[in-house]
Amino acid sequence: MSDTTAQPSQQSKSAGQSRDSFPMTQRGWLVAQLAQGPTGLSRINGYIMQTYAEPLGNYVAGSTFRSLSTSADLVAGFFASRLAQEGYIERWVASNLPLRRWLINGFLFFLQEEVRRRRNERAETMPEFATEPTCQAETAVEEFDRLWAASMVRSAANSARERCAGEGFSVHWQMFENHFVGGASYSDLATNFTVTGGQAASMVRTAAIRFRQAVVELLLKDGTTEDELDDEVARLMRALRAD
Amino acid sequence: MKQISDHYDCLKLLVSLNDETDPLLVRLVDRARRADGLFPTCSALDEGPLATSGNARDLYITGSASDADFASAVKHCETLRANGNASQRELAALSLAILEASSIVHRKRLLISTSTQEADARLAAAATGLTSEWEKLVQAAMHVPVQTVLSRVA
Repeated sequence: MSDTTAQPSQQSKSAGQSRDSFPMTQRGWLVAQLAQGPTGLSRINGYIMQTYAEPLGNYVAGSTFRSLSTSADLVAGFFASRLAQEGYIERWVASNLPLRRWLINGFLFFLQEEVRRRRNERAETMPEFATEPTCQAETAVEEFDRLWAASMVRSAANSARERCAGEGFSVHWQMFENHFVGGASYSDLATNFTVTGGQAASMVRTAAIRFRQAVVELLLKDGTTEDELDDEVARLMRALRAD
Repeated sequence: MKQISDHYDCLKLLVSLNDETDPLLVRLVDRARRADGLFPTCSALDEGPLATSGNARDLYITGSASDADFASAVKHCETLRANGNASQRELAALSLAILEASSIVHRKRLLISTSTQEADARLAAAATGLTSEWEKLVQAAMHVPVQTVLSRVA
């Protein structure tokens, strides 16, 4: 299997062989898939649906558009409508927008279209759409950033947890979570896991590096450049603090 | 295992991406993990800025250092950290962590960290590659009950 056909997760494992190195630019993986024709496009669509369905669904569930249908149906309708369009991904690449921004913009257009379509078709029987649901694009983007950040972190944590488990570092991941999420000190970890303080720091670091690599991988795939990573993480922290 | 359940947990995980304490110490943790042979040696510690006022082990392991000795050593560490080459800066960061450990064990107060949480991270990072009595000192500091450690005296 060539590099360009390997799945992102497989690439990250390859990158992981050189230990603490960051993965190659994942947006490059998406672009490389375009050159593979329909097979590559299918992989891209699968990745987008797997990664962005949850935050898009959470967004619509909390918006005034939720009365249109179930969030799952709306997201599925959006994917079916847009991902099937010829040149949709190429236009994202040309836009230089983060993928999530491209998708939420498209999703908002889709939702507005859906409102108009249903109102035109069924105005007599669905009076609740007499008043069109509204959205402030800027507010919607901010809200989606917040939801996407949470979804991305959960996804990165799951990925890093699985990678740790695969490498025999499940305990390292548990210590990492206990320290950063649970607030346990290294001293507590040393006591609870029967290791020295230095070993606790080292083990947490092992898991932290894998979590960092997973986050970086997702941010790069979303269109962040390597130079922008620190700023992007800071921005996502601000978005989550606004919760 | 705890599930990453809410946005606050996600935020805490994102915060982990930022070095929680001295970046030089994080670099030392990585040196210890890789065993690259570039971690400061015991002799470098014995003869470095910790030896400014005399025998480093007598001063900071045995506990004969005075407040003035601590202050002088911190000053030398900070100068080396600001002006030294890469390995000297790492030696300075490690020496500062050792001074913190000695201050906690022998004076029951923080020296450079602004919180017990920061001190905990600093000591754990320092302990990753230390050997001999320096390691024992740092490990001992990590086991001093938090409630007995006073905040840094300005």
